[in-house]
Amino acid sequence: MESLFKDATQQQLKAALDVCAFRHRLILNNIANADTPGYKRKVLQFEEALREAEEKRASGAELERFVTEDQSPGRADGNNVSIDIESALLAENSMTYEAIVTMLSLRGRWLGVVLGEGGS
Amino acid sequence: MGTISSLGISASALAAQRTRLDVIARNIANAEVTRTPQGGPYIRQQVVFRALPEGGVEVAEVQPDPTPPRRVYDPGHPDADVDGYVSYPNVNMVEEMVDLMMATRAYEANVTAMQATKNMLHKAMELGRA
Repeated sequence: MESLFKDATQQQLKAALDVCAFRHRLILNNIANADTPGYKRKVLQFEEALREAEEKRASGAELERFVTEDQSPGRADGNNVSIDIESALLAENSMTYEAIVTMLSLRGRWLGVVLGEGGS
Repeated sequence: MGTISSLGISASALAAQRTRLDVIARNIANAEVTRTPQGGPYIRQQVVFRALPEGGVEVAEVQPDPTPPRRVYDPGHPDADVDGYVSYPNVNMVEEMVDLMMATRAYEANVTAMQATKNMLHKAMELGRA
């Protein structure tokens, strides 16, 4: 039987949160290296990483395997980071993160209602 | 990529871009300097960035630009050579201004990224209040 506090949805949300936080670091690193000669932008295979995080509870450095380098030639110095694209990804990723946190805190509140036998 | 914090990644980039802005300012300030302690005109400097293995970026080195100095015919100038040419620094003002804009833009992008990280951390703290 599923525990009230550790059900599948809760685990999935936590896994998604970990993957989002990991991707956030990748995007930060891409933006930080937007002018580093020869640097190639790093991309996370999001779906694969999420599946791994859900099944094996992998997080942080264990998700490193799902990072690939975008090999497109880019500029003359070999760098292929576009600050605009990374900024858009950053905004998208942090909104996803905040949405997951909202879901988690809503579930926490519902749980409080359930434990209080419906509030009243 | 490993242990450095999310804010640390952006902070390293802010420091690196600030060094770049300093070097650009030095280039612009010295654009007409024909005398230096080493002798000859000022030589344009440029920063080279390097990605850190643990995440983030640093200034690997500040290199002199190898392009030859700008030669201007001005026989009345005290630093003119025997043919009447003065060697001015190899600083191209347009190039420096473009570089300045790029550095400022990169700096701002990292400030925005830092703000996003802070917002996410604040949001995560809501979980404790649920």
